[in-house]
Amino acid sequence: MQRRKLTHAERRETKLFFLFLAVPLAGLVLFYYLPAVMTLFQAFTNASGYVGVELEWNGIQNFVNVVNDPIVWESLGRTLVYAVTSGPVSLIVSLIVALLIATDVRGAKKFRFVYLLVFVLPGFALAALYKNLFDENYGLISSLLRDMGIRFGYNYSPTAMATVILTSFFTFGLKMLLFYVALLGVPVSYYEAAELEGASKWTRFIKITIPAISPVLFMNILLTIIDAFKAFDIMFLFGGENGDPAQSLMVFSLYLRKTAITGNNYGKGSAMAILYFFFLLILVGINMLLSKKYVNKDWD
Amino acid sequence: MKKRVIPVLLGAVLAASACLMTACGGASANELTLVASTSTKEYIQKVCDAYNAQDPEVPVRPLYNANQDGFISAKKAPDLIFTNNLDAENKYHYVLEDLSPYIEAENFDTSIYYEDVIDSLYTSDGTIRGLPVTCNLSLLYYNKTMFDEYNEGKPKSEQLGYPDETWTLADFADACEKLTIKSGAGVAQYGAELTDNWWGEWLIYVRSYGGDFMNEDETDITLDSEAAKQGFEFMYDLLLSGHATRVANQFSAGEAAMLMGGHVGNWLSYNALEGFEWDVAPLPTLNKGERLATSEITADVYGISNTSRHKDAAWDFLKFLTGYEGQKIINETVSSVSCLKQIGQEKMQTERNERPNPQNLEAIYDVQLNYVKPLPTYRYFRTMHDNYVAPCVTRLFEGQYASAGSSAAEQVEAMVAEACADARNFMRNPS
Repeated sequence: MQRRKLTHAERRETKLFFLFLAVPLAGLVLFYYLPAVMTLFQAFTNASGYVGVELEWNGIQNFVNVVNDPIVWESLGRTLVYAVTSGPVSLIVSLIVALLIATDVRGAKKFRFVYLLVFVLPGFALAALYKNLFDENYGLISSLLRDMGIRFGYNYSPTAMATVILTSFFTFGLKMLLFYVALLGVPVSYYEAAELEGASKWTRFIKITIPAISPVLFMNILLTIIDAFKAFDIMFLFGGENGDPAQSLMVFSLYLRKTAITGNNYGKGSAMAILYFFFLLILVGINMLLSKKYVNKDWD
Repeated sequence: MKKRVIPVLLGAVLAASACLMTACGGASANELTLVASTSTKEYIQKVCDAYNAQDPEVPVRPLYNANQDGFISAKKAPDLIFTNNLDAENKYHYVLEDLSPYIEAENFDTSIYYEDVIDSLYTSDGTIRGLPVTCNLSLLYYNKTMFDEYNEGKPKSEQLGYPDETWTLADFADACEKLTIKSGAGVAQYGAELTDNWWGEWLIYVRSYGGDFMNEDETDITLDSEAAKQGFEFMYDLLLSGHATRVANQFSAGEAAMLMGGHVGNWLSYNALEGFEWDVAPLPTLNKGERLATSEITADVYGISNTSRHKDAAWDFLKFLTGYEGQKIINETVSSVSCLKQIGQEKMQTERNERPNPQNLEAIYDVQLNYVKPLPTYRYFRTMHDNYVAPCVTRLFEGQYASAGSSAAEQVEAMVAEACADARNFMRNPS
C-alpha cells in the first residue's frame, strides 16, 4: 500500500516533533546510554583511576575478579536481606496506610498530609534524624533499649542493618500515594453489592480490592525491588563509603562505588555494574511475567 | 534530504554538549595552572598573587574546585598536580614528572625540608614526584582545662602534669584512669577518646611495640606479629578498663581529656570552639627514653605534570610554593604543620604563651617530626585496610570476638588471625 503524502503542515509538525524529541534524547544519550556503553567497554579493560596508565584489553578478567571477590558475595547477601525485609514490609505498611486514609473517617485527610510529609523530606535529613534516634551511645531509642539490656544502634555492626531496615519502613510515601489513588478508583458499588451478599471485610479486600489495584500493586512491587537493590543513599548516609561499622552496611551498590572510585578500579567496577544490571533485569523480568499472570486487566 | 534532518539535529546537539563539557578550564598557552580545593583556596591564591607580583615569564592561575582527574583524562592536565605522598607513588605516578633531574641540575637543597617528610616523597623506584606543602602527623592531643581541674586542690606530688616527651604508654594509661570521672552508673568524663575505624590510632600502638602494618618490602601483612598483637591489646585494654570511649568527637566535645593520633586538619575546628584549651605532646613511648618512629606522616604535595608545556616555569613556581616565601604565606594563613625547617624554627621563636593552639610546637618540630614513618606504599594498601583489616578491628572493639571467658589477648589473637588471613588471600590476587 502506498503511503499518503504528508501535507506541508504535517511535515512541519513532524519536524517540530523530532526537534523537541531531540533535546531530551540527546540528554539521554549523553548522560545515560553513552556512559552505559562506556561502562560495557571499560568492563573488558584495565581502566583505573591510576591516571596516565595505558588502557589495555583485559578480556573477561574483571568478571572473573568480581566472581572471586568474597566481598561481592557478602555485599550481595546484605542487599538481598535488605530487599526481602524492607521491601515487602514497606509495601504492606503503605497499603495499610493507604486503606486507612482512603476511608471516610473524619480527619483522614490530615493523616494523608502527615504520611506524605516523610516522602517530601530529603533523604539526608531523615537519615540525620534516624541517626540521632538510633545512635548506640546517645540515641533516644537506642538509649531506651539499652536500659532494657538491648544493644541496638546504627553504629553497632550486628544491628546496623536492622536499624536501616527499620527506618525504611517509614519511607513509604510514594507507594502509599499510588495505592491511595488506585483505591479511589475502585467503584463503591462493588463493595455495597458484596456487603449485601454477606461478604466479610477480608473477602471484600481479597476479592475486590486486591484485583482492582493489582496493576498498581505490581508496579509498586517493581519499584520496591528496584529501590531495594539500588539502595545506596541510605547506606552511604548511615555507613559512609565503607559501609561502617565493620562493613555491616556494605551493600552491592556501595561496594561497586568503593571498588571503582576509592579503589581506582574502573574496570572491575564496570564489570560489577554489568553483572548487577543483568541480575536486576532477571528480577524485573520475573515480576513482569508474574504480573502478566496475576494482574487483572479486565477490571472496570 | 528530509531523512538527514534528524541525524544532523541530533549530531549538532551532541556535539554542542560535548564541546560545552570539555571546553571549560584546562591549561592555556602562556600560564601555569594548578588545582586548589576549598580548604586550600585561601593560601594558594595568596601564594599565586605573591608569585605573579614578581612578574614571572609564565604567570600562574589557580583553578578552584576543578576536577583534576577529569583534566588529566582529557589530556588537559594542569601544569602542577596536587596529590599526597601515597598517591604520588600510585595514582599519579605516570603523570608526574620525576623531579630528580631538576634537583640535581640546580643542586637544589632538599635538606631545607624535614628529613622524614622529604624521604616519604621518594617513590619505590627511587624517583621523587613532588615537593611538600603541608603535612599531617600523629600527636597526643590533650584538654588543658581537664588536667587543671584534676589538679585543683591536690598537693603537688599528686598532681598530673601535662603530657610531655617523657610520657610512656603506661603514663598515658595511668592518666586516662585519673582523668575518668564516674557519674552514678555512667561516666561523666573519659580519660581518652579512642579511634578504631581507621589506622590513625591503633597503628601508633602497634608501632610502639615494634610491629607494623606490613613488612619492609611490603610483600606481607604483619599485624599478626607478637609486637602488633601487644599494641592492639594495649588499646583494647584501655577500652575494657572503662577509661576511654569509642564514641567519636568526644575530645572536641569536652567529654574526653585526650586523643591519641588525631589529625592536623582538625586544628581549625578545635580553635573555633570557644573556651576549648587544647595542646599537643609527642606520642608516648613504650619505654622511657626509647622513642621509635610511631607516627604516620602524610604530606600534601604538588608535582609537575609530565605533559606540561612549561616544565621549567612550573619548577620555578614549585620552588616558590614549597620554599620559604610560599611556606611563610601558607603558615600565616592557615594553622598547619610546615614541612620547611626554617618556618618550623621561626614559629618556635614566638613566646609559647603567645602562640595560638597548639602552643607546644616543640613537640612537633623538635620531637615528633623526627620520629615519623610513612604508611605502606603498597598499591592496594588502602583497599586491603578498608576491606579486610578495618572491619575486623572494629568488631574487636565492639566485643564481637569475645566468647565466654576469653581474655583480651585471645580476642586480639582471633581478630588478627581473621584479618591477616583475609588480607593474605587478597594479596595473592589483588584486584
